[in-house]
Amino acid sequence: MASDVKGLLPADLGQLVNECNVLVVGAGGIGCELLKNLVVFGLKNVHIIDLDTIEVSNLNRQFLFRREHVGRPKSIVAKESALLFNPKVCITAYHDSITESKFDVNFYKQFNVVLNALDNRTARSHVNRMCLAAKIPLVESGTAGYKGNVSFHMQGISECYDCTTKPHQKTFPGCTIRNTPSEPIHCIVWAKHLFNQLFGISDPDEDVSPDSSDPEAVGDAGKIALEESNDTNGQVKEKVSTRQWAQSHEYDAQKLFQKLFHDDIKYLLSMENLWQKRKPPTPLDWNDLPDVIAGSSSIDQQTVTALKDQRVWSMQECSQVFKQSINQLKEKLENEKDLIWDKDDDPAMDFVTACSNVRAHVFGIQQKSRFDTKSMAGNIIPAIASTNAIVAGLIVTMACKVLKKDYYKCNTIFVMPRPTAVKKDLFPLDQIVGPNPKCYVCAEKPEIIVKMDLEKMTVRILGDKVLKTELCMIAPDVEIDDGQGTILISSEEGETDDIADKLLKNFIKDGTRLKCDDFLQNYQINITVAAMVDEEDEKDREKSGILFEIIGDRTQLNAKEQVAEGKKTDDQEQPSTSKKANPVHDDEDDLMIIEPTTVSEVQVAGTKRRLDETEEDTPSKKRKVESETSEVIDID
Amino acid sequence: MVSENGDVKNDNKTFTDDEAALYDRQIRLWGVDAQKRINSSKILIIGMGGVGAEVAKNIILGGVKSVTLLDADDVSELDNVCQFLAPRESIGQNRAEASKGRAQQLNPMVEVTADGASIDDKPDSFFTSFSIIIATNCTKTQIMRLNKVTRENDIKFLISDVFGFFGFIFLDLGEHRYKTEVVNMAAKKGDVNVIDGLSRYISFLDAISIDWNLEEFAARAKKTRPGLFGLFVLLEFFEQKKRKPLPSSRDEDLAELLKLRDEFIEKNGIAKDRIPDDFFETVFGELGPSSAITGGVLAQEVVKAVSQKDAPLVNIFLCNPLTGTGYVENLVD
Repeated sequence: MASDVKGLLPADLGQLVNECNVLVVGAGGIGCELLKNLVVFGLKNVHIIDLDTIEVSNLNRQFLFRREHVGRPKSIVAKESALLFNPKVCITAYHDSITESKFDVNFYKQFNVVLNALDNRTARSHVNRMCLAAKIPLVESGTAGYKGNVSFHMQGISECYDCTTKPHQKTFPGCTIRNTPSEPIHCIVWAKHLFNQLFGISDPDEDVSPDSSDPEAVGDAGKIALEESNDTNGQVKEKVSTRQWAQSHEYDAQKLFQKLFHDDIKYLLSMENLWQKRKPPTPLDWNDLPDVIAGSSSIDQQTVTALKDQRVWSMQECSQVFKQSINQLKEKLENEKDLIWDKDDDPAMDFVTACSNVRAHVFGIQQKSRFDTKSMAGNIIPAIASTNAIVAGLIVTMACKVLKKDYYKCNTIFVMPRPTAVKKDLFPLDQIVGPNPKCYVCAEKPEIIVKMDLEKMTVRILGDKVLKTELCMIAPDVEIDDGQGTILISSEEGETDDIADKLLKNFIKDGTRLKCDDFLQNYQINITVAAMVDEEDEKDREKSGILFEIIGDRTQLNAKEQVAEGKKTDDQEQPSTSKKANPVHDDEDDLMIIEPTTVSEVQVAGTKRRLDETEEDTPSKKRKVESETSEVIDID
Repeated sequence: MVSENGDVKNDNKTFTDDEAALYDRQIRLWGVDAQKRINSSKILIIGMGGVGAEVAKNIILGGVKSVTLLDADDVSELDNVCQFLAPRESIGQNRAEASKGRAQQLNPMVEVTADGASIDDKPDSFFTSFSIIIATNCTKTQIMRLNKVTRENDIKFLISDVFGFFGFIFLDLGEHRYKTEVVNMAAKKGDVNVIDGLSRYISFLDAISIDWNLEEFAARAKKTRPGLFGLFVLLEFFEQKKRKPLPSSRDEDLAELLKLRDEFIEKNGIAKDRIPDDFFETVFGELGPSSAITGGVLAQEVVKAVSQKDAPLVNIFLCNPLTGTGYVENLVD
């Protein structure tokens, strides 16, 4: 161990390294490199926690794992492999979720520093709150492709993880997804929604059928068309769920195809206003499928691609895969109540590829290969061993500074794909920024305003989408500040189930204050409800399907309204956290990197795609949150 | 198939399902063509210390065709604090041989070979069969001999090492042509243009022979951060002692380093504060975290060099994570 070799480390550091106890959260890409560095460097006590099991696509960088380990828990195998490097260290491994209640404030207090090697915002936020509550320093990290960063968070000294707005995954207006897709991603999102509607837990936000309430189509023939088709060819009535319809037709692939890509498209065509300035879609007939690829001049199907999955399928092939995958999924559904979409589940991935491609063809949008569809649908962030190794090395050196209490030397470090323009820094540093006094987490009395559609939002949506997804609470309790202590949401299972699906307007109104509390996170926040009522809001919301919007404080709310009055902007930048979005679970080892101002002009031309363009939608594991409350968050 | 100098002749390679699954996340970063070139490259790594082990891990995981580990040294106690490939019980055994087992386990699809010979006993012809040569733990004399061979045979050459917390990479990729994607702002969003790039390098000898008294360099010498000149002093120490500064002989090595520093600044007319004494406080042995960082950057440069995708660094990377720096010095332009 480094600490055992006299003269290798400065004496004070050597002793600290020998005596410290650290927690590593995550045994994925960064976690594997970090654990290796820590045991080789000679930290005597390391705890490591991870919920996941090992997959083949991990093996190109998570080098503590090998083929024979696939399927085993990451934390346990990581411990076994790392002990070979240094049998003298004491490693405690937990195959568990970090958000479990047993990892309470007292658990955190045993550590000198917590090192995050996570892959999703909810878990990062949670550990941030636990470290704030336990007053333990936190080193946060992330990588995406060639980029990475390492930052330090400590109460009273630097900003907390939640002090800055985190980039949100891109969401699309419901009407674009349901009625007027124009890009491949719109079709892919639609196909994933369709999967959930047909086989999984359907979400009212994820409807896939034509939306006749589209403001663009108002006063149109649409409604008539709806009534007509209901009578004639089994057009889904609004009250019949897509799944019920499919069940009643025994998941017959041909009938489903006909409904989705012929009847529904014909119905869309009847909403003529939509197509005045757009290219109208072309309905497809199962029995007369073109053998071409949309959006491509080449119809050479025999082109050899280096990867099998990179070949774009013809409509014929899509329909075959559509049929085959539906049969496989239907079979699965016999043993499971609901299926969870997973990019690594072949039938699920095949289904989304086939459906999105057929829809793309219908709308004359460029088709995508299974390989590219998987990137977009699975929100895959490319990952390589070397960036993780660099970041893990930087984490250890930052941890050394933290142990020495040199907190003011713990500047945020960025790893760049190329040196900065002027100083030629490959690892530029950022200033240490103090806590944000208006932070919705680490401020003394966190307060936010949430605009809500009380007419459409249920208590459950408030809990799931606002408190859990947006505010990253794990088990919230909500009390209405009405002097009577009325409980709206309880973290105790079953306690408020009876009102969960009731509309918010039954309980709260504009101006109501909600006292929200997560006991485990030792986190309280007051929410002031601002009802979405006026006409302006109504139109906006219809356009993009927003049920709520989080506003930092009253001054920001006012500022926003002024802007909205003066000039309508599509994409108003939100203070604090923002509108409707599903939890950002970034696949792999990543983090959204906020580049330092000094290097922002050095744009990364080499990367294939921008992160914010590809992150989309709820991945499988969020479903777990709802179905098995014992396993809340997954950790890469 | 790869010709002697690593040019990819066969572009028709297709990946098996196994390879596609294993390399999925990196193919999504650098693309299929880059992965093909990586898969056909043959790498020689000289020296299996901390940075040698780290770069070996990264490029074996990346899926090169073959990696040869060449090292005449034996595993020592110091390797245990920076090198995770050689098992603890292998102290006293040849370091390349001892590292081979775990290196091979990282990726069974890569041919890993261990060679316990000294580079001084290898004929020039030995080196010409590789696409890339990475030299660590070498003296300046050894580096210059290798660099002569790599220049004559158009082989990409990277020199690297870690001294305590301080790490460096010196690149000589000759005339290196590459392709890079540039976002086309004028076109539809997300569209990228592929453009050709060319990076030129100078030899190691040319770099260390720079006379900083000359007018063209003197101004620069005044601005340079300590790493570059510190590196020159450390390389001179290695040349004379045939080893790194060690924690076990810390006091005498520190005195020697300061003496060499004084000689260097005297000869080159450099102000003393360009290489302050404290630069040498943390350069003993070879530390794991710095090996990981330098080995990570080194692997990325190897990938850029073999894949001919994206601009590699020109021409020296210097890093001391304790002071929070990792930057590039360009002695070519």
